[in-house]
Amino acid sequence: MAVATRPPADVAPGGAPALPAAEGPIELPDGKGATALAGLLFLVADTMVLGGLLAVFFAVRGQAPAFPPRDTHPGVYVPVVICFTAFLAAMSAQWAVVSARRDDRRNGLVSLAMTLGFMLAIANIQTYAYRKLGFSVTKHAYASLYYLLTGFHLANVVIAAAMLVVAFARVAAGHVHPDADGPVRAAARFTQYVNLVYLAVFIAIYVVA
Amino acid sequence: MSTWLTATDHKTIGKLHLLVGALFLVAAGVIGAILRTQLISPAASVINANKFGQLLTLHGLFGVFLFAMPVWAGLAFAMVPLQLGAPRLAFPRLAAQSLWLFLGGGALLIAAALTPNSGVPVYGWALDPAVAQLRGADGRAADLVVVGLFLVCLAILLAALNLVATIITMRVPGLTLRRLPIFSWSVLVSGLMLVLAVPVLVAALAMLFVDRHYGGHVFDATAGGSPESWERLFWFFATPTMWALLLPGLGAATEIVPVFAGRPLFQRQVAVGAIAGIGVLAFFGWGSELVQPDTAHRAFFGAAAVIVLGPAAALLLTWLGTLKEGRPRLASPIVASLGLLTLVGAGLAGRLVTAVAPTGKVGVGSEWAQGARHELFFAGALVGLVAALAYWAPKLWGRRLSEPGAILGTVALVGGLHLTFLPMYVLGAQGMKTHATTYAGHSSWRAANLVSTLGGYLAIIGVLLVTLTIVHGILAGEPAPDDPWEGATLEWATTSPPPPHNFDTIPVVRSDRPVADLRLATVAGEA
Repeated sequence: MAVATRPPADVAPGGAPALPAAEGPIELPDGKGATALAGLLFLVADTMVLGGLLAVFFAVRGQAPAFPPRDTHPGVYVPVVICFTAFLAAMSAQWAVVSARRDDRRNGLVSLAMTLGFMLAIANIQTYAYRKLGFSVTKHAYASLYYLLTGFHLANVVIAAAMLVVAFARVAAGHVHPDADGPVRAAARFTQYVNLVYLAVFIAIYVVA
Repeated sequence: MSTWLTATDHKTIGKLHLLVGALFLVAAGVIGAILRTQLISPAASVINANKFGQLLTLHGLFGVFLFAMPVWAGLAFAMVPLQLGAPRLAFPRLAAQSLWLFLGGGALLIAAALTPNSGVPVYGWALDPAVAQLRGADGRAADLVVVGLFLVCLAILLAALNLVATIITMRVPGLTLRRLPIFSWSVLVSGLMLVLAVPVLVAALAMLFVDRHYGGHVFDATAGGSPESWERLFWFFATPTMWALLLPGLGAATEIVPVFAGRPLFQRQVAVGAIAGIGVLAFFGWGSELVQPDTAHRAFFGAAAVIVLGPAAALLLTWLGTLKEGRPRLASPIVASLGLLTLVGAGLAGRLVTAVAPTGKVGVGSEWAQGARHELFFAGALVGLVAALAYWAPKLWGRRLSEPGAILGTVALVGGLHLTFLPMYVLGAQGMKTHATTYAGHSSWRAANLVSTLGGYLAIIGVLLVTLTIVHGILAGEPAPDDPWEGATLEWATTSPPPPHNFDTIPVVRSDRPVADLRLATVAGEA
């Protein structure tokens, strides 16, 4: 390493303590926690996308004489079923996290499979709702935003399902232990996040509007 | 070539990002010169109004999305791990992915420009004057623009995630956040800003895509939609993003000034706080960019747009304080930093006037506002980049740049940028609106337009001189010593250029100036 011989002009004698270079091999940063942090930042970015969609939803609502328009009925049955299923998914996802912490492979596999099943059920219910709604994306601005918000949630459900599949495979292969439970925790956290997304969508579409 | 294309080394990926940004800078500059040539006289007919609008759109899209964004990522990818004492980025392959997404997005925007018959749609870089027109426009060009911007947004988001994760988790022991080099701090703050701002544009693009392809009505006022929401979402994205893309240039200069003044940064904590303050406050002034915000919110947005200028001014004052108390030595990085100081100072003054009087001749949509935006954000990012490249050339290429060439090019560039954008203040005060293609009947506008156009040519000459200096430096420059400037941060503790793993040994970090500490210790040992 090059070391200059001229002292910097600002350093007074007796100022900063002498600092030697580290001797021998040093402990280089290994980026521990980077994946978790990047995942958290992704959730922040995802939330901002949702925020953009909701901002326009409320802007449209604010200038509409009736919202939703009088001949448009998004229904109550499907969203309530989705909420209930999302609650079950949240419970089973947490069960999976606890199982991973306890190194309980059997319970881990069961809980992950259940969570995956709940997420697929949510996707199925939502696509069923699209067929039964009675209005398409082309009908008016409310309809377009209804499909955008629920479609955004659906896209997140698909991502969560993919993460749950990976976590299931890792647990089945014996790669997950109490000190290496990252895949299960990541899938569970994302599942909880997706449920929160639906909560926001539910409140916007069915409660506030 | 194949090793470059498959590289995961952060320095190589960073330099490739810089190359992409440089290519689109040239494209944006040439387009800008054509636009300025059209305005050189009151009734020039270099290009027609439609072509002018198309080129204006490309000029803005290239300048922001394909110059400023890749350059932000490239400089940070190349230098941040070295400043942290890290051997790599947190996600090396993700960094390579960002590069390909930038290239893909750029290719789509070029394809839009080359689409037969229609060419790129005429919407300006904010796409806002006629989003209703955009949502109903036929042709593939508009789709290419939307998808291209989506890819670029994804690229900058991945880059921001990568860099924030790297800065938080890859610091060498002892390098606490309080001791973080100012450049890395500016990258951290701007990365977080981008994570918050860019997804909003992604949401807007998704809605626009649904409107165009699936018959949606989100931005269609005739079906209950809200066309003004596009403008709001866009400026919520654009205002903090412009500040974010400026911050690394300011951060680099904040490191350069103390090194060449020969003393630590004056009021370092003020500089750190100023950068963080910009990061927070930039999110509150977005409404000041709206053409017609409602009266109730105009005062709030105007005040927020003024307040964000405070931390930026405070940052400049730390530079001046450092220079005043030090013994400055002349070199290309400090010349570029001083040029940056004049540009940012003039830009802040211009933005202040627009924020205070948003509805007058100098308000939103005026040449004044356009000039201030260019002076502060575009010129600031460009000259900040030049300062950073001149300073870190030994680490990027293992060579020193020719000092006369770098200084001459920088002076021409800074002078050209001032001559281009300051006359726009005059034109705004005279009543000229932005996006005007001719000004017959306003002969008094001719002189300022002429100076502005000539300034644009000079700025291009400056860019060419700087580029030639860099190319000459890479090919035939003098090999650089490891620490040619007597720097204070960790990148100067390794060889020039650094090895693939960056560091063999690293000094113990017990302050924000570890290499300066080591230098002092060595001198003390010799005595």
